[in-house]
Amino acid sequence: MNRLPSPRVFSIVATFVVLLPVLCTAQTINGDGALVDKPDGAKVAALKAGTPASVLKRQGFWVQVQAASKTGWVRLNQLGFGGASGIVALDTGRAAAGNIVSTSVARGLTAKDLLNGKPDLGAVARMDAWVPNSASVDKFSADGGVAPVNLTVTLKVIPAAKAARKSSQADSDEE
Amino acid sequence: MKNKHLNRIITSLVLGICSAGLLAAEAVAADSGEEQAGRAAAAQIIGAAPLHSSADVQRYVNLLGNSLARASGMQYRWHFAVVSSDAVNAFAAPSGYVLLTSGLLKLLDSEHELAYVLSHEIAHVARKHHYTVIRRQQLADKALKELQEGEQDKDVTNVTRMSAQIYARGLDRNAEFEADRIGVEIMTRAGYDPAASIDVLSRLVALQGNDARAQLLFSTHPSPGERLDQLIAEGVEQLPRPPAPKSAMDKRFETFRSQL
Repeated sequence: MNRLPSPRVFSIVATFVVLLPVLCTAQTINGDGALVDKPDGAKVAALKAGTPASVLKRQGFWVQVQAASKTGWVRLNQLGFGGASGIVALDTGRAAAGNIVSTSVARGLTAKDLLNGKPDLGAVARMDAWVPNSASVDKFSADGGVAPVNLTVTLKVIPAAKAARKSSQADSDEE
Repeated sequence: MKNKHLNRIITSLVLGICSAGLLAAEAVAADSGEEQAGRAAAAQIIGAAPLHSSADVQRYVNLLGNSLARASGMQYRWHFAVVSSDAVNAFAAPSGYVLLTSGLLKLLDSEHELAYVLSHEIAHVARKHHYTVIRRQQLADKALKELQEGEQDKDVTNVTRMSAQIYARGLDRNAEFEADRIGVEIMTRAGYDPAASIDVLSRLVALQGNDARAQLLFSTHPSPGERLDQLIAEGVEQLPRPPAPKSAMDKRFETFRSQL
């Protein structure tokens, strides 16, 4: 018996078709380096600056690419900080969470809502009772297997303009 | 002559004591002013979006938030809360008030990602980004003078109005980049995975321009692509990552998320 695919199937196929070009995002290698067989793995090929690379997926700070006719992994910063264009396809998170397209009007917390809202000091007073004691916080960390790290490496402090290459959107964001 | 000299000494001592008293009063006023500003700003946000009704949800963000706040080195009495709103946004208010929308939380995939969001806001508080702007505005319109005169109702109104304007307009771009940098260091120091910052910002890149829920977020922050560029340029990948995923952590995050 022939049955038409459900709207859900249509939706999945349509989403795949729309996202296909994004999933094969082209980038370039931004400096001489190596393609390795896995994160922190062995060298597969040498890569020259400017080599085209098709991004496949990301794992932590590593990105799987096709480059120089080979598939392998490069460090995130070897891809020339192409965050806006390249990393979109690399979201490894909850399925569809990064691709939700909503045409509905957001409920609450527009700029107008914030400006016109009536302050609720009573609600803030209720928050006082939620502050946990030190022992509860200790237990929460231990239960989650989280342990503090003695951080010996810190991030470099650099002017924003030097890092930002895709500034057209932000230039219009007057803050 | 002797009496005249003695009078001068007494006058100097009295003036000195008065000056010291004024300085002490100023220091106390500054502290209480920050707390008052924080409560007023939080009240303004909650006035626009109510607190989430689940006690378990509020307990979870307070436990996680306070575990991260320890790594900030700031001794505030930290308050965290989830507000019910489809909007994708988070807010930091002076003296340790942090509010997250349920819309933002629904986009997150792990406790590590939530740790990045919370740490970004904690960094705003630690660097006094909002309070600095509020103080500047207070001085500009002489609201500080009114505060010292104890016009309580008017003070709250002034601060809530200023806070609303700041949240609607946003901070300086550099303050947002700084909150990312310091926030990622805070979460890493607390034991969370700094790579989660890449996950969250990547997801926001995908939302940009497509989703009305994130409209205010994008109008008040540098683009998420820029923030990614900045973090990578600052060397985020040099930071240590935790050894392995923890199932207990994943489980409690899933429970939290299901209650939103």
